Amino acid sequence: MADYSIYVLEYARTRNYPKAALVYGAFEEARVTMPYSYVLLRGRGHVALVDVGYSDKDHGRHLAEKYGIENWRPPRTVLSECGVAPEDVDTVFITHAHFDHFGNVEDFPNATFYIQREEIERWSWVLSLPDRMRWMTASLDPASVLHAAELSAAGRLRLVDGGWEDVIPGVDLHLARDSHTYGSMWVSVRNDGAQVSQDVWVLAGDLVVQFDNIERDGSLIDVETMYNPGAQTVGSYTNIIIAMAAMMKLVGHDSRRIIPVHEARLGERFPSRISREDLRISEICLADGAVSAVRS
Amino acid sequence: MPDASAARLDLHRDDVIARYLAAAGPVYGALTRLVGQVSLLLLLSADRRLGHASTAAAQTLAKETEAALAALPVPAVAGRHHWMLSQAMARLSDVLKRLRRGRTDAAASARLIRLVRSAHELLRLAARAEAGLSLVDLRQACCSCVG
Repeated sequence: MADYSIYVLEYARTRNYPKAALVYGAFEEARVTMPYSYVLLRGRGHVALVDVGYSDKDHGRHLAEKYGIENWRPPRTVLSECGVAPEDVDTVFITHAHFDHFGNVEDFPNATFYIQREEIERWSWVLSLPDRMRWMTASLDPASVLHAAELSAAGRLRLVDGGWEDVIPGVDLHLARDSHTYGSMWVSVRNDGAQVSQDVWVLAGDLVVQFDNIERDGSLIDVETMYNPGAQTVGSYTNIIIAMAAMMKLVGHDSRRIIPVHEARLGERFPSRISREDLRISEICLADGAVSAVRS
Repeated sequence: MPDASAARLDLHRDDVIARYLAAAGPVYGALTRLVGQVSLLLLLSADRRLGHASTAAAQTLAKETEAALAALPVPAVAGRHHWMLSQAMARLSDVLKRLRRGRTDAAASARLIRLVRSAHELLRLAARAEAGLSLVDLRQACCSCVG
């Protein structure tokens, strides 16, 4: 029995990206293609997204040009591959406030957004710091924050204080304080609906950007595999590893159930297809009675 | 409002304008950060009264930016650009002032958000190519931007 269908939807990509930025210490490894994706959950009467990508206007376009991001497509195009329109989305979980996760806010007129309060409060502090400390704000889009304020005024943004069970049925929110960002959030789905679930999926945001973050060759420390955080963080590597351990415990130490959205190899583990727009659609699991969006 | 024709001149070939743009760049960057900061404060103010500490940092940045803006040497040809920055500054300062007075009701919040939105639009206009500035200054950016 599965309540939700879960899809990872690529909406853009960058090529020739340094692996060392994604896996700390991978300084000698080749550059890689890195997709930008968000996650679609569909079931129990809900259409939900985990993150919404960036907006290809102003700030987003600047970044796209700067970092060689290509093949961006808007949510309407990306979601249509699963038969969903932006207007259908009722719930959006924002894992953190970086531009590539918290951009297309205005595209979802019927959604309620959820983000950790700490993420918002600490960004407010960081923005007030002197110029030489601006590295910490480089990936924040002022327009996204303004959109968030507009959402809040319209009663469509909920600030989350730590954990929250059953925010929609079977979906739980978790805080990883001072980790990838100041108040990063990860999402777990108990897909059998049970309180003690045997069918948990974790949508990790950028706490786990690639498989290698949780399945890294552990010969360095004489173990088979080890947790190895990404290099791009404003918080603590220790806190990222603690969050990874919590995720792994939740999924019974089956790392396949932790879903990274910047992973180019999802197609090796899950049914997937490439859309007409040359973007990958990965079907992580299928709800009971649902029709596959990747298999004909 | 200064004549729009001033902005159509080739600013890059004019040393005076180049100096103005070099000086205005950091001010512009501070204004964009202020948009983000004030928006975050507005967001937080929707469900709780903001403490003095919450607004103090933004107030400090606003005062410093206001002073830097006033100190810019502004050649006549850049008058329109400077006017847009000044208008954005005034609107953001106005919002901050009202936020410091205490919690706002829904109607007041909506008005304040419109003010921030208009400040942001002014900054977008000021960032057009002929002005030689961009909406975000990526010189300080790094690989964390994709994170």
